[in-house]
Order: sequence, then C-alpha cells, then structure tokens
Amino acid sequence: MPDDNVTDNTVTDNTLLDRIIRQLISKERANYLENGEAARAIPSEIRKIIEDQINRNPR
Amino acid sequence: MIIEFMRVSNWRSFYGINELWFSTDKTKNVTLIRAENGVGKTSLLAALNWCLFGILPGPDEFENPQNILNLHAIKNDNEKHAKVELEFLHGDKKYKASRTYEEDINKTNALKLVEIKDGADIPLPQNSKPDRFINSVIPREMAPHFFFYGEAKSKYTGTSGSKEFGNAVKSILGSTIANMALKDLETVHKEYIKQATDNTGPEAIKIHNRIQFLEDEILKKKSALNDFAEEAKQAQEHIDEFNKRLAGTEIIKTDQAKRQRLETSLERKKTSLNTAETLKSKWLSEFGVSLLSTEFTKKVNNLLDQKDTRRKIPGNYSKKLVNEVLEDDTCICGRSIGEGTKEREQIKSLLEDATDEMVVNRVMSTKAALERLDERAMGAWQKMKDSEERIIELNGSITDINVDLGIISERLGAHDSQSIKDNENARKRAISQRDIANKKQISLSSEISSYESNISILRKDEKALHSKSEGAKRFVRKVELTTDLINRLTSKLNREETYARVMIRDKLNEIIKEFMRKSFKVEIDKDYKLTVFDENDNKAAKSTGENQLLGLAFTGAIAHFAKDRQFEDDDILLPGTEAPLVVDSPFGHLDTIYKGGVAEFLPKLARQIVLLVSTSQASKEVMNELEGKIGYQYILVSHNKDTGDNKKLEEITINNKVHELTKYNQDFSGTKLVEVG
Repeated sequence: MPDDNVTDNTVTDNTLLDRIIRQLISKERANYLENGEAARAIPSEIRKIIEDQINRNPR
Repeated sequence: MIIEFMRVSNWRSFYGINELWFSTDKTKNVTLIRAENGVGKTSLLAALNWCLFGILPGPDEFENPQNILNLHAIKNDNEKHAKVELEFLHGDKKYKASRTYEEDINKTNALKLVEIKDGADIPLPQNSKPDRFINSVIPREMAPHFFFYGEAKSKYTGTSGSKEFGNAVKSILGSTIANMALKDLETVHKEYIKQATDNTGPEAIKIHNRIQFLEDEILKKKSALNDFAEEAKQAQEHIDEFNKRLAGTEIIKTDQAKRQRLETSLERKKTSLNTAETLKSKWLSEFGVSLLSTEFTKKVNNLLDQKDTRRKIPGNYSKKLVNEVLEDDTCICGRSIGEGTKEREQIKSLLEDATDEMVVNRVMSTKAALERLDERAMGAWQKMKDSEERIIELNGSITDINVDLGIISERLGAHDSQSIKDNENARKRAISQRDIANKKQISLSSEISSYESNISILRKDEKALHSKSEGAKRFVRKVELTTDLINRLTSKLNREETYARVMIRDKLNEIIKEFMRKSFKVEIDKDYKLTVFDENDNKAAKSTGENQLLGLAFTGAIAHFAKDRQFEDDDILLPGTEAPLVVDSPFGHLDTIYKGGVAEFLPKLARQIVLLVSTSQASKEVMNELEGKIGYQYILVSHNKDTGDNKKLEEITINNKVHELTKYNQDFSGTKLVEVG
C-alpha cells in the first residue's frame, strides 16, 4: 500500500481528522448497510459529530 | 470465503431439490458446470447472488425475473416457496446462508444465517445482522466482480467503459461509503459557510449569492454537458451501425476499405497534432525564463568585464585573508609587519583589490546559472520553429485526408444503390450530429472552468470577510474543520484510487502479455479511460474476441487486486476480500487459441473458480487446459414432458461416458443438476 503520510495543508491535526473521518464513515456505513442503494443522506448526523468534536475541543 | 455447498429448491427452471458441491481443493480449484443454452447456467449464478444479496441480474441477462418459483412445482405440487441455501467457510468457521421466496405474496424474505458447528446449526448472537455479516465477507458492491454475468463482454473497454471501470475500482476499494460521507460533509460545509456569511454582513451576503448563482449555472451546464455526451455517444453508435451495414456491401468494398485506412490515418494525425499543439503551448513555460534572462545575462557579463569590476570578481586576494594577516602583525612569509612598517602599508593596500568570498561566490553562481539559462534559450527558437512547421504539416495532411474522405462520402451518397445512398447520407448526418455535440461539450467545459475560477476568487473574498467578522467567529471554526475533513478525505480517496489504477493496470498487462497473441499494452488515465496500444504505440483496434479476453483479464485483475487488499486495515475504505470467482460463459467469442489461454489463466486468478459453460464452449483446448484442475464437474440436464419428436439427440461424453443433456417423456419439465465426476 502507498505511504499514509498525506501532507494536507490543514488547520487541524491529521490524527484528529482521521479519527473524525472514521466516525463519519462508521455512521455512513451503518446507514448504507441498513438501507442499501436507497440510503438517504444523513447531514444531521454528520453535523452532530462535527459539533460534538468542536465542543470537546474549543479553541 | 470458500463455498462448499449449494442447494436450490424449486428455483427458476430447477425443479425439486438440486444440490451442488463446490471444489475446495487448492490444486483442483475449478468446479465446472456444463449445459446447453437456456437450461439454467445463468439461473444458477443468479441463485448464488440472490441468496447472499437478494439481487437478481438485469433484464439483459435474465428473462422473466418474476418467475422465481419453478412453474412445474407451482402447477403440480402446489408449491409456494423457492429456496436457496449456501454453506461456506470464512475464517475458521463454517456458515449456512439461506433465503426463501414466497410466491403467494411475491416476497423475497430476509437472509438467514447460522453457524454450523459439529454438524449442528448454531444461531448467530442476538442483534447480529446477517446482511452486515455477508457484507463483511463479500461487500455487496464487490459482488458483481466475483459473480460475473453474461457473455463476459468487455464492459470496461467500450464507449462507457471508463465509467464502468471507475465504478469497479471504487467498489473494490469500498469508496462508495467514503463518497457518501464526502457528499454529506459538503452539504454541512455549505450550511456553515452560509451561517458565517449571514453573521458577517451585506457585502458577504452579496458575494455568497453570486457564488450560489454561479454554482447553479455550473449544475445546469454540467447537466447539458451530460446530455451532449450522451448525444455524441448515440451518434457514434449510429455511425458504427452504418459502417457495419456499408461494410457488408460487396460493391463498395474498395471504398469502404480505403475509408477505413484514411480514418485510421486521420485519427493518428489528429493525435500527433494534439501533441504538437500541446508542445507549442508549453513552449513559453519551458523557455520563457531562459529567453527573458538572455538580456540579463549579457548585462551581467558586461558588468564583470568592466574595468572597475575586473580583477575584483573574482578578485586576486581574499579580504578575509588580508585582514587576518594584518591582525596577526605577521606576514605569511613570517616577517613582522608591525604598525608603521612599509610592508604593513603594502599589505594594507591589497585590500583595495581584495574581495569578500561570500559575495564573490554568490555572483559567480548567479553568473553560472544565467549562462545555463542562456544555453537553454539558444535552442528555444528552433524548437518553436519546428513545432510550427509540424503543426502546418499535420494540418495540411488532415485537410488532404478530409478531402479524400469527402470524395468517398460524396460518391457513396450519390450511389446507384438506394440502400447505399441512404446509409451513407444517414452516416453523414450522424457524423455531423456527433461533431456538433462534441464542440458543444468543449465550449461548455470551458465555460464551467471559467465559472469555477470565478467561484474560487469569490470564495477567497468571502473567507476574508468572515475572518474579520466577530459574529461569524463560531461558524468559521466549523467551516475550517469541515474544509480540513473534506480535503483530507478527498486526498486519501485520490491516493488510493491512483494506487488501485496502477496495480490493476500492471496485473492486466501481465495477463495480456502472457495470453494475447498481439503485443497489446493497456494504459489507464485518471478518468479511468482505458486505451489499448499495439506494439508501435498506436491505438489498437480490437476484435470481439480480443475485447472479450480483455474483459476477462479485467475481471481477473480486479479480483486479484481485491484479494491483495483483504488484510488492509484502513477503517475508511473497505478491506478487500478473497472470494470465489464464478464466471458465466467465459469463452463465448474466443477463438481456439484464446479459449486455451483463458482456460489457463482463469484458475490462477482466485482460490476457487466456478465456470458455467455451454457444451460448445468447453472445447478440446479448454478441457485440455483444465485437465488436472477440475475438482467437481456437473451437467445441467433439461427434462421435458413432451415426446421430443424429430428432435436431435443431445448428448455429451465425459470421461468416456455418454450423458444425455436433454430428456423427453419425463414426469416434469425443468432442469436437473447431475454430477458427472
């Protein structure tokens, strides 16, 4: 596999970003497995994960 | 996953209970199922797919999809259910998956799954979902690449091939889910930007509305772009169809052959012209700096040659050395040079011509760099001249070819034969339609790209206003985090897809090199567009058989890639999987040699292979190649209630034993699965 060291020009630490992405993917996967091709978008759940994260790590 | 056993009960044409053991042997890894056309090969493959995923093949591959329950069983036995059961090994455990269909209420029931331990069915823990478990064994999105329907036509290499191939790679990577996350992230990101703007002020709102307008316009233009792409594709299909019709007409064979040659040549010239134009457009970025530096280089050299600079750069003495000698009060020859001595004054006078080494080094390296640029610039004008001459030459050739093509078209369009005339004129109209659609696509793409640049500038302005606003502060953090998440996820997906493309291309080329008689080479670009080149690096025209072989090689390369990824622990994308490769009719359009080649490479592509072939496809070459690799072999026998008057006897000889493939005067009409060794 290719090297995982993706150097994005980001404000947030990559480890934290990966952790959030895993949470998002987990929600999306559950939605997909539950509903298959007909799965609807779940922006409210995504928003909740992001806002929980910001509330946990305020600047 | 290794499949051990399948039982189908009143499934489609299969009457009653039919059982099939799959070979699990590592060497004899092929399970061969042979049958005449229309007896149930595709139905058997569909049973596998339906049991695990509840999906049936598309209408192209599956007639009367509503007839799931065997018709004879309905009429004679008043049967209400069809059922498929599958036993398989995964990890160190054995499982049984089953699914039933209820005719009365036309309902496909949910998948049932149990573990089999010491011959007994052990229910899975409560709350565990069979669908999710199966998806972890073979992700639903990957299934079509393991359970391969149809005549194995090369769906990855046709006009819409790039889309199909891109989807295949994405499904193997499991990036569908990551893309869903990306879409939701983008929705949320837009909402946060809007909130930040609403809390910033009227100027930001104005910019935001402008962005929104441009985005809406882009959506409209993209939709029009798709329509024109579809129009061009359909026009091309019509052109191909008219070409075929004209090619079949003997009296214009010479014209057709000449036209084909001219069109191939035209295609090559256009590619060369494109290359020459690209080179020309890159000329300025390649030589611009060198050319601009020519004048500067001259000035630097003049400066260094001037009287007051000469001997200073580079100088005869180092300022540092002279100062050290003066500080030590001793000359390098050992003589004392104390204050007031004549020698000291002489050494001091050297400082006038002495130079600072650091400055000298910098000037000299600048001079060297400028000289290198100067050398580079020397060939620049010649290259421009060559490029321009080449473009003129190619444009001339293209015009000549178009004139010749026009003459042929005129001649055929005015032919005595009405059918030739009609086909030629219809072809001409289709070409014109295709060309207009292609031009519209180019123009729309350019407009979209211009709108996107505008949006990018406006976004920067909007962001700058947000950062100055106190009211937008709490939303700016959310915008930043979602931006970072989108960038990170996009970057990861791009990286994985690039890697996948390279790995699949390499495997594909490996298979082609070994099994295709022509020296084809495949290239895959970032849009998944696949191009096949011949040994002279020209785009290769492929026969139907070669296309089919390529299709199989693709399936093989993708299955191989999925197998390689089975232990990936990424969390974002799906790990790969090793699953049986079940291929329906892999030898359809292949000639004798290619049939042998496919029979040789298919067993190497996966741990377990199931081949469903018609009796004619299982030719001598195929069977010779498969010898020693077949673990189990079955035939599908068609049972018929009618007498079969005057019908040709259908038999097959396997291992010196004759088997009937069609039986008449039977108690039922339907298919039976028979093991033949």
